[in-house]
Amino acid sequence: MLIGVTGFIGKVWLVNLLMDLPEIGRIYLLIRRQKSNPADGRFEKLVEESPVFDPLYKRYGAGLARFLRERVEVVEGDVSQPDLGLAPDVSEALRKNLDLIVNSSGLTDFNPDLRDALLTNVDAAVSIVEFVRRSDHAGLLHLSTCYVAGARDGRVGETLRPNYTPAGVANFDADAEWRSLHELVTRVTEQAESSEVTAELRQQALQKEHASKDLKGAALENQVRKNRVRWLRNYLTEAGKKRANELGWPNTYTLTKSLAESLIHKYGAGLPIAMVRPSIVETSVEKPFLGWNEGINTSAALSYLLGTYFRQLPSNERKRLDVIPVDAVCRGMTLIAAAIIERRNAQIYQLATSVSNPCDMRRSIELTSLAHRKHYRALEGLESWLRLRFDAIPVSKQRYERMSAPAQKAIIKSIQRIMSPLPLRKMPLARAERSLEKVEKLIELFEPFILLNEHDFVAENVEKLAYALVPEERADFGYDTRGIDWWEYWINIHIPALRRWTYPLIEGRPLEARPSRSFQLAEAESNGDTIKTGTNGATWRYS
Amino acid sequence: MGGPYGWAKQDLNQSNHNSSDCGAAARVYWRVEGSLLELTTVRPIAFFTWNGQTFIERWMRRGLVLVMALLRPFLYATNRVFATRVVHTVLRGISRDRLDLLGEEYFQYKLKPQLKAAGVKELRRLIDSGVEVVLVSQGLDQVMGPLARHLGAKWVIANRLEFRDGMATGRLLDPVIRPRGVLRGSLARVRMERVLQNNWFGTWVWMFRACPGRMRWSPRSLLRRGTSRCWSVRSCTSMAGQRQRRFRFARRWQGSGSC
Repeated sequence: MLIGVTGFIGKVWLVNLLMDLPEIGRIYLLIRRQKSNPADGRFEKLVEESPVFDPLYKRYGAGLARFLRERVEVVEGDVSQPDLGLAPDVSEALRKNLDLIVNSSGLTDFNPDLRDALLTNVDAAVSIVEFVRRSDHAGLLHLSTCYVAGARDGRVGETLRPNYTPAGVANFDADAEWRSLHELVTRVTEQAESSEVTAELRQQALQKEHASKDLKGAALENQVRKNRVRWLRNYLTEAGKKRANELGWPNTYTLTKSLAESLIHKYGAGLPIAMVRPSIVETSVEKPFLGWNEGINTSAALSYLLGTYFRQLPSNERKRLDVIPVDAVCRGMTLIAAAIIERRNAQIYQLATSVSNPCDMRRSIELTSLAHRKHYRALEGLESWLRLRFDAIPVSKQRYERMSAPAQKAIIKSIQRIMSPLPLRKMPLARAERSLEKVEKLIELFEPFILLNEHDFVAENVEKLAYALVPEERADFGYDTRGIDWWEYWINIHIPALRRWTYPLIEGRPLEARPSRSFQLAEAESNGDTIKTGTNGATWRYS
Repeated sequence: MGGPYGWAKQDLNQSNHNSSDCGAAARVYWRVEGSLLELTTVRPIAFFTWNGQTFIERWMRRGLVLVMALLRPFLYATNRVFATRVVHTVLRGISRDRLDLLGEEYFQYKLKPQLKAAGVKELRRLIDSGVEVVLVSQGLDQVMGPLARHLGAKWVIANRLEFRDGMATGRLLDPVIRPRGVLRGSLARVRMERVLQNNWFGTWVWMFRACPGRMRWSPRSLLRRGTSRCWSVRSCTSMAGQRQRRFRFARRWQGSGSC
């Protein structure tokens, strides 16, 4: 059973598995209902609209629905609920039949609302382990991240240290921390309803320039309610981030992923469980097709920034940026899945390149700039001509602060201060100031990955599995990150893929138009009607 | 395996051509300068330096190129190999990644529009006839690789920079293909030379060092000048999957009895 099929890795793994192993028995897809959109509908929309399914369409054409009906079954559930939110009969059947559960679900925002992070990354993992324990023979492949290592330098081995904190907090107990974070959420939620906070929020609503005249009664209460939601979200986001930093993690995401690992280890003792830690998962090189990427949570925003006039990126030149293609991750997952079913799995697998095929920050930055250069060189116009001359360079944090975005922002503020006595309708350079603020936040977000912590992630366990493959299966299932040519990957595959699939989202443009196709998983009714969903080229990304 | 995977292995195989290759079908060594392009040594170097990573680096290197350009006539008159070596020293510290991309760019936007149609036509005719064409040029392999791919030539002999940790040291690897002589025009017009017997493959390359402007040897003289070493050239064929692969030049010493 695959949990998290709507995510980047989940989709690619499903399609690659169906392409490489069409004779597979049955894959159950646990999908959450989204308001009025049932699980079946979500999956159908995914198949209709996501380019990931193109190779399957190409192979099976009109017969794809039949093929998927034979191989795939969608079950509605919710991993954060008891018994995975499954109907009792479905749950019982699955517990008897499942060989393996693959949990690729997770919230990959670096600093999300603590409630969401706990629910998706920790509570769900514990629920799944409980489900596995009550199953007849199911194993578990749980997707984590290499960056649970947190703020530390050096070689990161494939070992699990229960109750680990990068800061080395004595007597740290992940279980107690998990409960304490839940208590914090409850406490803050109650605090948000308190009279003090309500008064503060009401004051805020009334002080708003555009609304102060008319806000009263229900409208005012509505505004207070909105402010409360925002207040709670911001408070919990900051609280999660602060706690993560105290314990030595750069963000809430890595904190919660690490807690999940410790809890899985505790509650899953004796069960066939493997935890898989990919590094930064990026564009595919082969499957489902060359140059597939999705979403803007990974390095897309940063690489986009390097394609603008932004030049000085604070980074540690020697630090290895650990990027791995999504299809390499999926190949690794398939090998590990087989190992779990055979009960020959290790506890931890890292899927990373920083040891096997390192590419340091200096090179990554230069390759990104060169990839942008190649693009701009092919375009006409003054802007392209200028942009291709603005190569990004790695600089120290001090130089960045002295000469880049923070300094530029300070200059703008000074100009604004000087201009403030003038009767201007709009503050000059307000837009530039906002852009620089965004840049500063982005850099701050990515600092742990580009400036701090020189991690070298060992990925030997999966290589051992790959070596053990019979020669005739190596082409389909082999895992090899040593042969990746980063020049080719960065310049001709990764950045062009981001330009195609991700940059439009950053810029607020629609994605390229794709021909619409219809898909219905269930057998068609006798009248032959099919559900038809139009494609506007962008909606699938939010499925 | 497709994609960028497996290149290292394939590169190894391709550079590993052996004595059987040396004795293969007819092979032609084709001087690029004059027949296909009017390629000078300094211009590509100036292009590379002007597109360095930082602004300061660009200006500094450009200044050095200017100095080289002033010195070049004297150096050129003294020793063309030395002159070629000197002019490439300004590339010290530029990354291989950058040079590879700039080489492609230089070919695509600067050289390609200037290719001589008659020369290209003749070369393609020769390739289509099944003859193995080896392009020979004083240019860097970063520029010649894309040219060879464009023309469909499988082999190239060109100048190669030494790299350490991915950065150019500024030193040219042996053998250095020197520019043609000043009097090349009066001596002979550029023409292709067909070499039918390739058992002395390495010798041909050696001969380019001796007389790069024209191919003025005869198989008989080559037999006399037989050498015990053989230079391999790197194939420029495209990778499976329609993507052009990066071109890299490698040399490999062969045993004396192999060629």
